[in-house]
Amino acid sequence: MALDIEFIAHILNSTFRLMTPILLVALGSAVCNRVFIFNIGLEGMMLTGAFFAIVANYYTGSVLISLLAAMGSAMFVSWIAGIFMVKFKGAMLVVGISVNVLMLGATTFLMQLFFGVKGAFVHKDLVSLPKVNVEFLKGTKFFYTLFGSLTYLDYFAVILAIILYFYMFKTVSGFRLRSIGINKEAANSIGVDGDKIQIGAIVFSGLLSGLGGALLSMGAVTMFVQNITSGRGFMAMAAGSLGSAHPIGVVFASTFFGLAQTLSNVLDNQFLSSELMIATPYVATIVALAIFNYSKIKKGGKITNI
Amino acid sequence: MFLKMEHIYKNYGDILANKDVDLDLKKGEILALVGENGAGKSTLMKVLYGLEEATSGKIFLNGEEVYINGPSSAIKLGIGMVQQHFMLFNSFTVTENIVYGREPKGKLFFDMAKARQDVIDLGKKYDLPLDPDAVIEGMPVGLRQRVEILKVLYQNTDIIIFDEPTAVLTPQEVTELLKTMKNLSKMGKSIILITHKLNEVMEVADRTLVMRSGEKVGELMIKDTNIKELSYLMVGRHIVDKQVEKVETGETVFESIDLTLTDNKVSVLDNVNIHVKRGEIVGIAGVSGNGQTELVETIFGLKNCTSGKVIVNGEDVTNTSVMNVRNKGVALVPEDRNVHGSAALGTLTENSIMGFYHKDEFSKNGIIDYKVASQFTDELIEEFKVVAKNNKQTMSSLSGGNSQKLIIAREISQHSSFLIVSEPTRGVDIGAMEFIHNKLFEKRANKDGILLISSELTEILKLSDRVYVMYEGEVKGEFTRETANEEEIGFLMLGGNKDEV
Amino acid sequence: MKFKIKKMNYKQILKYLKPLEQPIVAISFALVIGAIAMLLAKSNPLVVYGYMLKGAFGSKFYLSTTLAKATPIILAGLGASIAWRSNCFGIGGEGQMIVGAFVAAIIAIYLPAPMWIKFVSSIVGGVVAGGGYSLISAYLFDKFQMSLSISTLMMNYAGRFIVLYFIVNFFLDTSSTGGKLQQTYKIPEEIRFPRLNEDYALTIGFFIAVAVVILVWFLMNKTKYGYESKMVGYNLEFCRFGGIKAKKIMYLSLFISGVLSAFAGVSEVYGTYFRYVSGSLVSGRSAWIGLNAALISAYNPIGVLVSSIILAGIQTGGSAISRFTTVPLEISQILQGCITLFISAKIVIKWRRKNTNSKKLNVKGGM
Repeated sequence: MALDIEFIAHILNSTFRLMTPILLVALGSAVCNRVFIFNIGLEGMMLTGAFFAIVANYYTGSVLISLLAAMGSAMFVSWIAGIFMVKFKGAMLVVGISVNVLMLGATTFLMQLFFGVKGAFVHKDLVSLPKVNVEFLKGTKFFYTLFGSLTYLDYFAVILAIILYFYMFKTVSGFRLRSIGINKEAANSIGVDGDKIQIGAIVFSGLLSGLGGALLSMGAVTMFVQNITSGRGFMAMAAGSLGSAHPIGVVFASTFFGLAQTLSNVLDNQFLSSELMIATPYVATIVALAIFNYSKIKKGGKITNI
Repeated sequence: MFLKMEHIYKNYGDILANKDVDLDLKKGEILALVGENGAGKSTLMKVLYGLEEATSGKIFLNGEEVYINGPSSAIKLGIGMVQQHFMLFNSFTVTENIVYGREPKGKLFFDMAKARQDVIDLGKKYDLPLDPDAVIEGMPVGLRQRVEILKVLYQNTDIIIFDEPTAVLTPQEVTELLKTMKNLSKMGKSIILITHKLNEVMEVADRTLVMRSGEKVGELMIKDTNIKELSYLMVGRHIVDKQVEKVETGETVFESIDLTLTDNKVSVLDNVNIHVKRGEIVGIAGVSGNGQTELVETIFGLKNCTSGKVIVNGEDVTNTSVMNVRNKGVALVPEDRNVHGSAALGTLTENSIMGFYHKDEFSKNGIIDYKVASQFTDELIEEFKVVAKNNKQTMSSLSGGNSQKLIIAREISQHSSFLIVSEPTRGVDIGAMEFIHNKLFEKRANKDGILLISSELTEILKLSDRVYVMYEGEVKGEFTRETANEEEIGFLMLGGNKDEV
Repeated sequence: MKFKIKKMNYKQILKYLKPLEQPIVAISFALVIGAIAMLLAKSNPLVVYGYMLKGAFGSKFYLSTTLAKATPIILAGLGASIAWRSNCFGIGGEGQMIVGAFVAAIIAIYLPAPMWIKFVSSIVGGVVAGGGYSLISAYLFDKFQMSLSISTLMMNYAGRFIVLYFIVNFFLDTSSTGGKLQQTYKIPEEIRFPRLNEDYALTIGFFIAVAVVILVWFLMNKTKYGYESKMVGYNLEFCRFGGIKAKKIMYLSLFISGVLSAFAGVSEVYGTYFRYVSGSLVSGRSAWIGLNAALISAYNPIGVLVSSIILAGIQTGGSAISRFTTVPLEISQILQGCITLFISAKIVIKWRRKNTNSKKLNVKGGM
């Protein structure tokens, strides 16, 4: 396969499509990191969203209701997780791991209950997320390929990152959100309720995971497969850390993950090993964190470990 | 009268922290609240700032009764507190820290420009200049405290409580802070200063309220009093026990030579020269926070000193490891038994062998002989009359006095020639206290050396054959049991100078 | 008089059951939620739980399947216990299993040496590789203060794909399926863990795991390292004052933890697949279930053994009920997830106790 211009458009398009579900969840992870919550349960929450999107889809045929169901279900799960983590002081790792196992089991269980199938559920009546119409670009093949088969939610993910940037760094509420991760005690001493903000952040990450899940089950394909997320929630956590919990940084980090996946798919071992390609972002996350922490330690700062 | 606190009682379980305390404050006045550790000053102020709820009592502001149920309601009423441990966001800027909780807001966004200007104006108004864009991380302590003060002023407070504000400051910073306080009072702010440094009180305050064991024991105008009178009121009556039988002292077991520790440019230990001989108990008198903790940690290999030497039994152990110091014959009863002295969830046996579980007696080839350890623990329990069901129960199930007895038993059990005991009877009942004191005398009779650190002057005077007085990391005086007198020691440990006596 | 003795016995029994209180409460809660799920699936929970019990332990065949499944869970659970009890909260069991299994398989297949040397060096090589892999996260924590949970999570994926790279490019079994399956060749038959009976899945691997349980129990409860690591987990400051070098303990704990997790992977190679099959260790989820076993048993090795067998039983029982009833086998994951979720509340009790302690202390210390 030659490196022609259309091929590049294809790669960029695929990168974008693979990136957005990760981005949505990674933004949730970033918000959690900002309030000192290590939310490893994102994987399970994403799976929840992916599943209930299809359930609502099947019964109502409405995209909007499907998205609402995805968000609502994942928010409910994350709220429970938040209560366990913040109010009951359960170890965040343990709660998160439990949520992942529980939802992995529950979604498959309910799939058999609702649809009577194992493994995967497809149905002709399922509607997928509407794609942005790019017929007007048909003339130029490059742009046609580049912007082809993208859903509104894909664009929304990027816009959301920008909105989140403004929220975090320009609004009072975002300012207080960030303060919790730095010194919850100091926030409490002025009368800002740290617990409330932390649970809020977890629920918000649930909302985004739900959307990310819906994008998986109603985006490129419209179906639910057992464990459809297959580690994307963890990938999103990595992207959240790699982007140092900064919304714009997270966009780049998620793109990196999307690109690595795309390259491993399309290059098919021609130039690079596809396996090493997939491993790269994880290694990069470790290296980036090491460098980040090292420079902070050098400056005499304290690393806040979750 | 501007602020009035009436008949404040506060108890924690059985302990009465405040007993019928009255306090009043005029506008623009600096009131110093003085007393020893545990006298109840901080509790009283926590009640005022809403961090603690009084058991009973009333608070009036401008003649009206007010109810304060949390810091935010205190702030609303115009009461602010500069806490001893700064409550700052280290990676935020000065501006962000100061406006926190009452941020100026545009239609949608945080109005940073206005916040910044507000901070600059505020700094100008109170003559407390600060770079509004500097990040807290990397700022010197004095400036951080300035941020705290501005933070309180930004909330439009009329009453500012300072909780031991000078403990962490360099001398220059202290001078600066005292100037700031005077300045603030001139501008109409009322200030309550919690401290036990009497020279600062003399310099800055208008009036002082002295507390002892939870009660108000004196209320004096500064112009009518002096350090001597105040220290006498604070410390109260302590009787030097001259009856204790003397033990003949032997060779020196511990010696520090010009021991100096500087932390962040603040001098924590300043050329400390002390020694302990076999057969004597040497007390270090001083208000806690004057370098005693660091002295212990430096001797014991937990902290590296900046210069100077630590000699144990003739060997130089300066800046080595805890294990080495222990092996050279030093044992330590740390000041905080729950944090440093024991593992709450560990069994009594596990707690009893810490520090020497590696000795041949307890372990061979990497295997611990728990039978021996268990027997050993039973012996300690019996000898020290620790009230416990068996040695398998957890440390957390013991009462404070009993766990302290076990810790002391553990540290004495190795017959080390030099024992450091830090606050050995803090928070234990009278019976346990008596028992512990007798055990320390027994150890002394065995011709071992003991270094006793205690903020209880009574304890120091009762046990010590010799006393060093520490103030701000320096040894200010030395007394023997014969020459010790409580008035003079109290005077020195509160910042007086020897030649003024 | 008789009555009195009885009463004491009763109390004593209660005392012995005390450590089991939390897991029993958590398991009961989980069973209730599982029952609700079963009702949703229009089945009688009692009947289903009956089938489950039968399907897990009801016959020699089922029992042997359960115990075979429990083998890697036990080992991974021991690995997690060693690390977590000394406050090293890593979740790298999966990566360590993968690395260990891969290295062991490669040595067993390719080392040109007599069988017994092959065997020994394969096992030792595998577990040391897993331990070494775990040490990377220890180093990252020591030098860069990188939280163990993050680094180990990343290393699970990095390890998985890097190993896959080696398999696909250098060690692929091209013979049987034309190289379509991402797996190595099989290890020599002579050195595989022998089965107890041709018809059953159980190999001596399980008994080795039991032996390791005893070994780890000994390590935790009798040795100097065991004492030191336990104390580090309880109170780091206390250890500092007692002269224990906490950093050394962390490295050691993470190494041993990696060795044990890796051995879980090795046992799968030697007892189940006889080769390294990419993805098999991930989809088997033994590392995670092992971690659950460690949490349920509060890091007690004997408890890990018991809870691993229970968790494995829930799995084999789950597949049995999906054959006999309308209840899907995923009920086992629902039960697992609920158990650990409720177990996490145990930390609540501990935390509350600690918190009240320190509060009291503050009051006395600084009035």
